[in-house]
Amino acid sequence: MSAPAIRCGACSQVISEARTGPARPPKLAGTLSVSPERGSVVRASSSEEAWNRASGVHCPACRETLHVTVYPAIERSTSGALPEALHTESEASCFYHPQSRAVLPCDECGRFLCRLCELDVGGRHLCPGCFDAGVRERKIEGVETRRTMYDSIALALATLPALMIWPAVFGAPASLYYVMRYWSAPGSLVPRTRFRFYVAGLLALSEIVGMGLLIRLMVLTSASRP
Amino acid sequence: MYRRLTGKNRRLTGHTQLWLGPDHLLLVNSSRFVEHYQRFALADIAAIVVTDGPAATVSRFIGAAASVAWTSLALTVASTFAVRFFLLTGVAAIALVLLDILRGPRCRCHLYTAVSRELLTPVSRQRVARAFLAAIGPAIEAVQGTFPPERIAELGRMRGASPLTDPGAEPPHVPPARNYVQEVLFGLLLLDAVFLWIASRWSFSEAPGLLMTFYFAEIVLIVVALVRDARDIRRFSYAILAVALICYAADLVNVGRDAAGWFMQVAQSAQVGGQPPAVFWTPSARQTLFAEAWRCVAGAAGWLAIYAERQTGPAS
Repeated sequence: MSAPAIRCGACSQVISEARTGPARPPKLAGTLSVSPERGSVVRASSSEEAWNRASGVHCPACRETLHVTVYPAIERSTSGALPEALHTESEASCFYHPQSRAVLPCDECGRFLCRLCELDVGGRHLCPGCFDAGVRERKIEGVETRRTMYDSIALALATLPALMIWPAVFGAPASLYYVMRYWSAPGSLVPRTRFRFYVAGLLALSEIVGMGLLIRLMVLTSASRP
Repeated sequence: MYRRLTGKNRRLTGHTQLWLGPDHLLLVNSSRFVEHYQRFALADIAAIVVTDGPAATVSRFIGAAASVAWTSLALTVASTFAVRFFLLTGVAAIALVLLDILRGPRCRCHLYTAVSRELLTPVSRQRVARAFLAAIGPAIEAVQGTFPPERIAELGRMRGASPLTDPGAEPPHVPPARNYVQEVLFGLLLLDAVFLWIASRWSFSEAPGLLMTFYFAEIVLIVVALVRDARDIRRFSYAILAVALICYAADLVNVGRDAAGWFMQVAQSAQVGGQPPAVFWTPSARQTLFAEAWRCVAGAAGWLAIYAERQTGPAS
């Protein structure tokens, strides 16, 4: 399989080699225009000439300037290891592909796996099923795809209902619950302080205290009426 | 563990941000209450392509002009509340336009791996893109090594036999579809000029409502035409569009002043208990003549310019 085709970010035109033949209007021509410096444009003969040029190149279709930075991985083939077929019936076969020879067992469930099914995750060899379960149950580090921000939820519960006054009756306790329940829960993968938890907790507490005082005031007022 | 590479690219429902991990690039897509993560191993990153965005001169000019026009409506109204409202919202709009200018030209950044092409939304300004490349470049090269220019030249020479690029896999180029927004707009301007003339000669009660609808259609089409054809602003028809926008703004100021006067009359009649004015918009003869004239000229000149451009230039 070939390496990825570099495309213009504006019009998705593939930046490819120069085309020969009759001249066409510049907007339709597939020829790459390389600009060594602003204002002067020359023709490049291949897409590789567009790579790693500090001055950038012009897209042949929309004429926008592109800065293409490539790394050695662009030469890497995308085809992975293929499973081997069974030579004799006595050989162990893959749990998922009975016609393929097993190369190792899953470190989690012990099922035999062929080269296609074996997933190397941080030095452990897992089958697709165990990998999927590990991701869902957050047992495998470094593959998490989502996390819930409980501190943001707590802050929203403490602030948004309070804007409409009476829904704070439900919002403040719920916010306090979230603060206490998820104080130690894993937060964001990237650095993030507990500032939102602190603010949410303080706001929720003050709302509850305020509501308590309001109810007390109402009770006292109604009791003092003749 | 993670080092911040870009600032937050904020939107209404959350933000996106790029972080650099020990062996991978982390794209955080936050929807405020949930964060979604995408990891790109430094060893797998094949290319990073930054495409400069359009100069956005036209859209910024339109934004600035609209903001100034909105703020200047404060001069046409008498109510203190209305003056403050237009001033406050207008200044906020001008500040947004200035902020956009200060942040610098836009760009789009795509990250390529062997099997994917990902848009990095946090890298949306050229200044940010330069800082991002300066930070991520050494990290990738520490893992993959450098890509010497000689090797690139060699790959260029080997193109015929190389599997790197397969010309056969390239899709045929599809020229952009021809659009008729400008034709429709200039036709509408001519039609409106005729309608204005009829409405001024034979006054009827539905005229103001119809005119408002036409005005709205005109501004929508003008903005769409300006934005769609912003890549080629040297054409004569584009200049006509820009002039039409300025004339339209002048019309808008006149209408705004008349509307403010009508509101004042309604308020006064309510105070004294008299009959409110029946007609919402009663333009003066000078205003009507101006509105008819520029629409006639812009419509006719626009049609001629488009005809000439279609004859001489490529389809656009």
